Amino acid sequence: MQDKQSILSAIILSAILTIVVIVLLTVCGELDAGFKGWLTKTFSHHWIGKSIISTLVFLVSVPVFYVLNLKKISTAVLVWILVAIANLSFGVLLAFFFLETYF
Amino acid sequence: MTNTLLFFLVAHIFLGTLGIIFLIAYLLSIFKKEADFKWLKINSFLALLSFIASWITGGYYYTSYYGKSVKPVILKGEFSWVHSVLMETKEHVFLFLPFLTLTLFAVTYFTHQDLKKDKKLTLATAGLCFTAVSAALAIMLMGIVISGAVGK
Repeated sequence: MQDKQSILSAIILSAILTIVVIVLLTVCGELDAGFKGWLTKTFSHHWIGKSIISTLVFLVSVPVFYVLNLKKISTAVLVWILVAIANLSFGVLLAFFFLETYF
Repeated sequence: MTNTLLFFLVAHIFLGTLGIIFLIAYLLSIFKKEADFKWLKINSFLALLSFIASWITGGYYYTSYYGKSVKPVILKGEFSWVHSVLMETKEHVFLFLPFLTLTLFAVTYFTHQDLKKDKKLTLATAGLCFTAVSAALAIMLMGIVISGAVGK
């Protein structure tokens, strides 16, 4: 059960990190044309680049967080942090594209 | 648009809707007095598969057709903000969904005994499911508005 708790904590923390990375990749891509161009050139489309990078971040961070063994934080608290980050990230992206369009 | 692209677009919408249905089924089941954890696992797993398949099919349509043929039409029209605000938000928020549903499945799979007893965990898991289903519904509504903005 302890091991399951460690795996689960690693998955939840990786999901949090991945969502933050998606937001950063998106905002940086819009603010820096060179970075968006690099994503397009490397992955054929910037969105494919963001999809691949986010998947890689998740896959790499799960074993890293597992080794760090952060099972002391309760699962319920981690899930609520993920919920807060996901909702906040949605709001940040919507606000960012609104501001980029009108200001 | 070719028949292949049309198939991918329809598959993207169908699979995304299926994912929403599985998540709503999960949300309705988790608060039952005698929640069936076998079905919670199945619903969360099928939602994950639906969103991954919707990601791939929608991604193919978006990267091979939308940018070249649909986006310029919307940008020339009266509702160009529909692309620059809604589509841009939709295409990036969509990337959250597979990770949110994977986490939902993992929580259900690894904690099903605790999920029965621990009310705090049940509430947090329901909050995660509600967030995923709300984001998916918002993405769906944005998709409807984007389709409506073509050629206006």
